[in-house]
Amino acid sequence: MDTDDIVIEPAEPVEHMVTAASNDYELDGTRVTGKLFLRGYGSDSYCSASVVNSDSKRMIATAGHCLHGGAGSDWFTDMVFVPRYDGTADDPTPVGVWQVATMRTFAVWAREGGPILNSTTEEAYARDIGFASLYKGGDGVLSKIVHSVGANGIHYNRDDAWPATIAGYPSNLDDGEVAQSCSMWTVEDQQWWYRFVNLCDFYPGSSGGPWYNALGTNGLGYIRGVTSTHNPGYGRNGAARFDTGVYDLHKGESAKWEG
Amino acid sequence: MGRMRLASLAPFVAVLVLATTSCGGDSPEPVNTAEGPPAPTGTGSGNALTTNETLVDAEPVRLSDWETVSDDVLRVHFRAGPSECFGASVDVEESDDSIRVNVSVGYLESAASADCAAIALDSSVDIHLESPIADRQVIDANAGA
Repeated sequence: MDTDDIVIEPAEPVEHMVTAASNDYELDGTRVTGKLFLRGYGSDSYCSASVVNSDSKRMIATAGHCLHGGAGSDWFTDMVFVPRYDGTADDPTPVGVWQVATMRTFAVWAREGGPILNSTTEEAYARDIGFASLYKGGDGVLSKIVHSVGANGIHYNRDDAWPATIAGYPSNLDDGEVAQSCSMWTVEDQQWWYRFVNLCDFYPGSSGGPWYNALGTNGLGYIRGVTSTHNPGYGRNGAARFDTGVYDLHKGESAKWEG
Repeated sequence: MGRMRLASLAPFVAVLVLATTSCGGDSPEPVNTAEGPPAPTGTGSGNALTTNETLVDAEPVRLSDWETVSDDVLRVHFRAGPSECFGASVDVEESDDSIRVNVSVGYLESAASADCAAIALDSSVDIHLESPIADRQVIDANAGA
């Protein structure tokens, strides 16, 4: 297990690219969280995701299973990301829509992933993490997502329990149309590579949403997990650990768009 | 209906694609990547839910769409989690001029203590009707709920 602490810093948007809507956000972990539609805008197939900083300034973090269906399946196509989506508002896309261009997840997820975490899929769930790069998009002048809305940072290789704030679009709250957040201490459950939060009870649709290690007063923070699973019996959600392998995944996706 | 709503957005998405891909310097180097050895690929399939198992915490859901599979089989679409974890119950009232459909979705009792991928999926069940669909109106009992 790697123990070197690796940190990627958050980023504020670029000032001249900020629209009026860009300045209208909550401080509860939903500022750069959005809905990730898996089969075109408005589709019932969806996850959650959040913008993360990178050299390419184009990336979101989500669950591996929100990019690739796992064993016997394939990559999703026609995906779009809508930061701060609000289906109850006059304008559900307050800062616009960004189309997914490229994706990256672990081969073990694509090879062995399945709908339930159990003894045959646990290695895949230890890697249920993915990054996607977005074409320039948004309202007004087309721009890179980080320049338009800002981005979270990332903490890698942390092992301690922490008071997490998790965010996303669980379908059991506001019909999945409004971003939610919930704060709860993480707990370890046998596998060192997986953490749970009890009682948030985020239903399907919450996958891929950020788990903040620290949330700043500007609504941006450092994430160290993304929602992977929901267990109704315990009302709990799970997330895989961000280790050096995930850092390499992040670097590899960013590198596709650099230079 | 959901499909009509999606169709009306298609031109917008198409314009977005053209606009973004025509920008200089906005093309990716390679395509999608799975870190490590290559994985086998397959075709994604629809999320067809069972209606034969006991459900936990079932709640009514709105239909997003419906389609005709055969003369007397109606396929209704709605949102749910993976079919390995979720099931549906369906009540149908047929009359001469309408088919009223009431779908509820809940966790399968057998999966109620499982950690399931928390993904929302376009899901469906097939409803076998007592008489052909013909030109009867399909009514969602939970529309506006």
